Amino acid sequence: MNLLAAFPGKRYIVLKIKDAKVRQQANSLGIGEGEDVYCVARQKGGPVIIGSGGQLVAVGGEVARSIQIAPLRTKRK
Amino acid sequence: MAGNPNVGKSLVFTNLTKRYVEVSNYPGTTVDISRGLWQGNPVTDTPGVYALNGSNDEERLTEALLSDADVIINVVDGTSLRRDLYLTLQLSARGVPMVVLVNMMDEVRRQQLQLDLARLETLLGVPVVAGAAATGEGMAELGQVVKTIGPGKRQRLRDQDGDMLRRRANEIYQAIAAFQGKPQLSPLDKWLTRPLSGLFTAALVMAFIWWAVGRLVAGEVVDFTEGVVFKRWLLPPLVTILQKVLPQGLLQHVLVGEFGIFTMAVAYGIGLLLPLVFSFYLLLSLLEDSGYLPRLAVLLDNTFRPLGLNGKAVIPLILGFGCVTMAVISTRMLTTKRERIILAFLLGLAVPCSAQTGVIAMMLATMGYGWLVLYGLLLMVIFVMAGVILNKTMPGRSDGLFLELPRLRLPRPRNILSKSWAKSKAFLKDALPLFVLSACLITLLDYWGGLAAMEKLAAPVTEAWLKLPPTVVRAFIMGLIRRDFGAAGLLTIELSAGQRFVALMTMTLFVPCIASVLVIIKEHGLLMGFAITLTSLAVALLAGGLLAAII
Ligand SMILES: Nc1nc2c(ncn2[C@@H]2O[C@H](COP(=O)(O)OP(=O)(O)OP(=O)(O)O)[C@@H](O)[C@H]2O)c(=O)[nH]1
Repeated sequence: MNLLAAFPGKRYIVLKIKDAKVRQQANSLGIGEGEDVYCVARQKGGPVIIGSGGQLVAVGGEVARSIQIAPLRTKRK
Repeated sequence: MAGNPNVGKSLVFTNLTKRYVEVSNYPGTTVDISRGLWQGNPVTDTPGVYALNGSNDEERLTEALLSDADVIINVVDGTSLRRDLYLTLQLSARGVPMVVLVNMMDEVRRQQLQLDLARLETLLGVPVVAGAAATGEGMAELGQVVKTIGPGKRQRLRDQDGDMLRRRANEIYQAIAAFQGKPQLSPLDKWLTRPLSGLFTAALVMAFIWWAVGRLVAGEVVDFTEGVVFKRWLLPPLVTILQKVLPQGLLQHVLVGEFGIFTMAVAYGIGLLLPLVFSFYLLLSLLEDSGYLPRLAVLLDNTFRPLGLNGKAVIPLILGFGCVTMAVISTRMLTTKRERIILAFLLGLAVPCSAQTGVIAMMLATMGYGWLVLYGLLLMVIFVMAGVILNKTMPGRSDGLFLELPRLRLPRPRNILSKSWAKSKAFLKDALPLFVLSACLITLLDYWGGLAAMEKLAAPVTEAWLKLPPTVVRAFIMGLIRRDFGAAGLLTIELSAGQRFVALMTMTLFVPCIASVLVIIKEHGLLMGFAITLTSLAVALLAGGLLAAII
């Protein structure tokens, strides 16, 4: 699934970011492959607002589509 | 001094150097670099960047500045360390002595985040200082550390490998930060970013700006500053004296004639425009510092997409209502050249700048709000049409939105005031000489009959096509030098409501002012400058003529 399909209130892990440019931006904003993100809010077709490491990042529809995620079940304590 | 955007670098800089620098709550405000002195040593504040990949002007500029640095002060935001550590690692790979200032500790404590800063120091191999620029905490210690700092442990990382840097940053972050609770949108944030309530609020905010600038300041305040202070108190005695002392002739005209330096340039510049500009900057600073603009970007992202732009474009756009020239510079925050050109085009074409907006709002509001609404709608239609056409015809692809949302903050009144005042002063410094120059030029033109000749020359366009009296040519010529000045010039010409509307519309769409044309040329080349100027001219005349025919 991609980030556009994320549900608000759920935690996900970033699997793969296809677009190289998006990946570079994501890396420097603190959202890397293998990291967990939290879907905070979403509008249909974007933007999706995600939380990562204490800040909020807004991700536009097209960008969100190129970010592959998977639901994260285990809660870290 | 280097760090991510919006981490409080400017405020740390001010703390160290005690010199005022612009401090704002949206990413990327420090476009110009500030330099100051700290205990006799030069300190440079670099533009906020997320990384040093050389992928935009800011990153390249920061690289260049850093290559001269003896010591790097890396300012990071304690509440967003996971993100900030990426740049920290890139910086430490340079092997320059470095200290990390973990800023916003007040916020860290408020959110009850647990950070193991001693561990961070070990892992990074460079000194770490905790502080809060807003309260001054840790600033003295920072100074102490900078004095004693030696070369740090060089992180052996290949600069280019972003994925690896990210992983390393995460490892460090996991090691020093305890699990942080679920991030959440505050109720206000939800309200601002949801389509219905968000648009409603945006409309309210815009309406308030127009009311405050167009009615309150342009009406009440300007009535006093221009109408009473200048027209009644200052000018009459000055004019009487100068007319007595000076010989009849050119000099008198230049100083106190119809377009005289005192009677027009100074009176308009200070009496009319200064209050408008100041109030506008005041409102803009409020929007900037509160963190509202990035919310607006989220809200409008989908709206901007057909124009080949993403939500971020709203920030330069709103700045454009302050000053188109400044806005063209801030289009740098957009990530592709394609977006920057589209937005520069739209800014030059369809966005009136603050002083002009003030004058226009004032003129239209006195004619009735219907005209004001019509004006806004028409401008919007032209804006959207131009954007869609540009998006369809320009090669390449625009980037999507990827934007950090800084915390919403209550702006600090002192910061707002000093910033607005600094900007207004800069405005006067820039604009007044140009006003004086244009007043001189127009007086000379008028004196030697050039104005009459130009009016005659332009008559087919002004009279036959736009159905305006020939004298508006003067206002348009003044508008070339400063758009706001031109709009103000229309005030003195006798026009019917419909004519006024046509004149204002044409003036708004008309060629951008000389300063913004110069900036466009500087940013995008001569060709682009000409293209934007000529298109504006064509669209202005076309729209004006059509309007004149209909109204
Ligand atoms: N709570 C808190 N707020 C701070 C602190 N330091 C700065 N701020 C606020 O953070 C916001 C951003 O500060 P700036 O100094 O503009 O940040 P910057 O890093 O220079 O930003 P750019 O110019 O975008 O690079 C402002 O609203 C400051 O008032 C702090 O220690 N605590």
